[in-house]
Amino acid sequence: MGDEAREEFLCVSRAAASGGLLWRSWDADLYIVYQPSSAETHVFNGPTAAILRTLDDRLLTLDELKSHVEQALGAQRGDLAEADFFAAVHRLDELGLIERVQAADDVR
Amino acid sequence: MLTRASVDSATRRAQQLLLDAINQPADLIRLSVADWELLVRVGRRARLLGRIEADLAQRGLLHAIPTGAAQHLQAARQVITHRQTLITWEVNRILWALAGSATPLILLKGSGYLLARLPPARGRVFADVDLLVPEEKIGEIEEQLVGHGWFKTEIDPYDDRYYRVWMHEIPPLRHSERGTEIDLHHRLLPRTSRLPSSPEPLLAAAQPLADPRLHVLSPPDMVLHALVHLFLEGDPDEGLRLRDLLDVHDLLCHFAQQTDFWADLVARAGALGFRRPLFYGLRYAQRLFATPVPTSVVQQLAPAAPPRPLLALMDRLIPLALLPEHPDRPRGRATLARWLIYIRAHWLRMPPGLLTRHLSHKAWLRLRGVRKRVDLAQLDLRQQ
Amino acid sequence: MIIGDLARQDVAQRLAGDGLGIRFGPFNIRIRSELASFAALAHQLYAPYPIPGEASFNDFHVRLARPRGLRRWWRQQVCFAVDGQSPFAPYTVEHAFPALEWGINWCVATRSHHLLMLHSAVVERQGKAMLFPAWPGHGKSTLCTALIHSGWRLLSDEFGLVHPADGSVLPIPRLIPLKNESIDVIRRFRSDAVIGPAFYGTRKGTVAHVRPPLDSIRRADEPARPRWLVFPRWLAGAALSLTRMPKSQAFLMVATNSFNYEVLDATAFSLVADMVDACNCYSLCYSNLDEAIRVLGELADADQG
Repeated sequence: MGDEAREEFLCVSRAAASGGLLWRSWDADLYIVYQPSSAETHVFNGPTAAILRTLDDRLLTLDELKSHVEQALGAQRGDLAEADFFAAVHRLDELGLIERVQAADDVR
Repeated sequence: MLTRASVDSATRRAQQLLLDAINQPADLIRLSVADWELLVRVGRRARLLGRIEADLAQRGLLHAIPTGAAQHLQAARQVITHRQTLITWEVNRILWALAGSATPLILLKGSGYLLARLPPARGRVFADVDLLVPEEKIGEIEEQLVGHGWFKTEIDPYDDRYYRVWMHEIPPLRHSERGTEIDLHHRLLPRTSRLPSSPEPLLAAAQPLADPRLHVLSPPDMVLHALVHLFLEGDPDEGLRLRDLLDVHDLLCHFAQQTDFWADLVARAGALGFRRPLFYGLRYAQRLFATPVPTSVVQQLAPAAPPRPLLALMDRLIPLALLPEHPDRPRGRATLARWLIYIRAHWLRMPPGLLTRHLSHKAWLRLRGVRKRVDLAQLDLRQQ
Repeated sequence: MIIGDLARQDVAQRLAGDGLGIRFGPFNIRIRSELASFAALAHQLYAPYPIPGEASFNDFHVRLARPRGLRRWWRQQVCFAVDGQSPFAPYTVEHAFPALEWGINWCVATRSHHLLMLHSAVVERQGKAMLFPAWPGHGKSTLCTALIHSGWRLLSDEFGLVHPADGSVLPIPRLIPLKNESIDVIRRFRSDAVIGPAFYGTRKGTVAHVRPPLDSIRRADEPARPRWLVFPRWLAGAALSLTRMPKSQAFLMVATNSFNYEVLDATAFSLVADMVDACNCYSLCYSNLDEAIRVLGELADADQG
């Protein structure tokens, strides 16, 4: 993800959120999530789940999101490896669980 | 031994049950258990169980029918709801993958009915997403989709060549995780068709949906496409699909509320060279579903009728090919009718030399058992 | 009325005429066949199963028919057909019985989306169900057959039918197809088990059908609450081990060992999640059948929940 991507904001996908995700968690750091819009069941680790929960109905830039997630996980700023964070964001985007919003059409 | 007369009357009863269920759903609560049993069987064959369920649910009558039948309808509804979710989601993901592209996408058939919220979507299973796009954009769109998780399905070289050289679509694209297929069309009929199929007028008349990148065909074009699909996309086993004629009926009833729809439809059929399919479509929709068609329209289309002996033959063959047989008493005549209609459909689509080649290739595949056999992709059952 | 109330001749006549009605748990099946060998076997192995009343709704009309076309002349074959359609390649006529049994399972698995269908054996004690979701070859049928001959009731060897309304499991106590070595294992385990003839050289090797104990067939309308999820694995020479399994893993194994989890959308997610919530989950590794039966019995005895 290059500098260009950093100009974007991320938010929870309207398509995913409109159906409301179903969450279950029995074991530490493991979340099973059902996405009604796609009829898919996902398994997420703690950081990935934290990204979704942190975004909720907010618009955040990648940097803002990352520090919020670190805070939510009780980690120090910069603890979350960039590569892991971007991989999770990329995956959530691919699954239609988060949306990218260009700074230009900022709706804040 | 079953006599021909008893087979005919059993078949007539089965077919009448199905047509009555579609045409007068409120009367279904009066059916006996035995009639329900037969209706569920022929309804499944015609893939109309979901439609029956939707009509009963709309009237709040699902509780008023035998439990056994209601369970089969509920099972059908479950599959339909699920498939419709998948199709809607696939369109969402296509838009995501094509972000930044200004090319309009025209949703054809099922996905179009579904996203435009048109009546044929009710209780209907749709397998794939069918898109019509300008031919010069096909490569670009295919490339973008492949870059975002879709792959070109592997088909044998004969079929690939057949698609790309002769057909109106490219081999389907399938998503590597989701499995739903996308058919990209650049015209509605094969290049080889004896009917004209230039896509420019269709693209020009298409109408946008809520998301301005998505379009559906204009009402007259949508009806004509449904008819072309019904009469020219035959399948030798299934015959003509009754549910495709029902789509036409639903569209006609729905669009008839718009002023000038009928005049536009007749004019458009003339302009695009589809007066004959429209003549047939209205004729058999009227016969089977009592579709209200203005007398003036019937008169205007009368010159498009085929010569009298051919019409008499079609009047016998087409209902045979459209209506399901009694499941326990299939008749050779119906099987023959399905083959004749299939060959006719291919005749319209392809020049004769190519036709023989294609049919023999299909027959060869069939002998090897490549097609047709269902493989339940499930565990223990898969291995038997 | 049960099949056993009919004379053998009567069973054959019904099969060759309008069909023999038979009830397997929640499903009424109408079977047609003109094969004399099939009629004899049906009369024997289906004897305790009920015949649905005249006014009942038949869910599936199935038939064993000779294939049409040239093929019938060069080899004795039989096709399984449902509603006049043959979804599978023909079988040799000797395998007509297993073909029909399997075909009925196929009908249930592909058409009964009003229920959640897990791929699982299910047995019951004191109203509590133990489910064994498993891949083929993990010894689920053998273990299940041994349990139902040791005081457990059979709900099903193949289907965990979960009712969406309340999450209970519905019985469908069909014949259990044992494969290869399992046949002798069960013969040694209970010499009084009712086992049909062995069919050699089927697509799964040798197959023989065990008829469930009469009590299981008679109580086919008594559902049970899920209480245990046990994932069994038979391993030659392995020491017995019964270990707790993390619930997330149990969830994924149940969901992926299912015939229609994905078709039921959010309903399936909630049903499986609730089942996992309500169950203690274990993985079981065993080589000795008696030991496995004993440890599962102790598990049930210890449960006060």
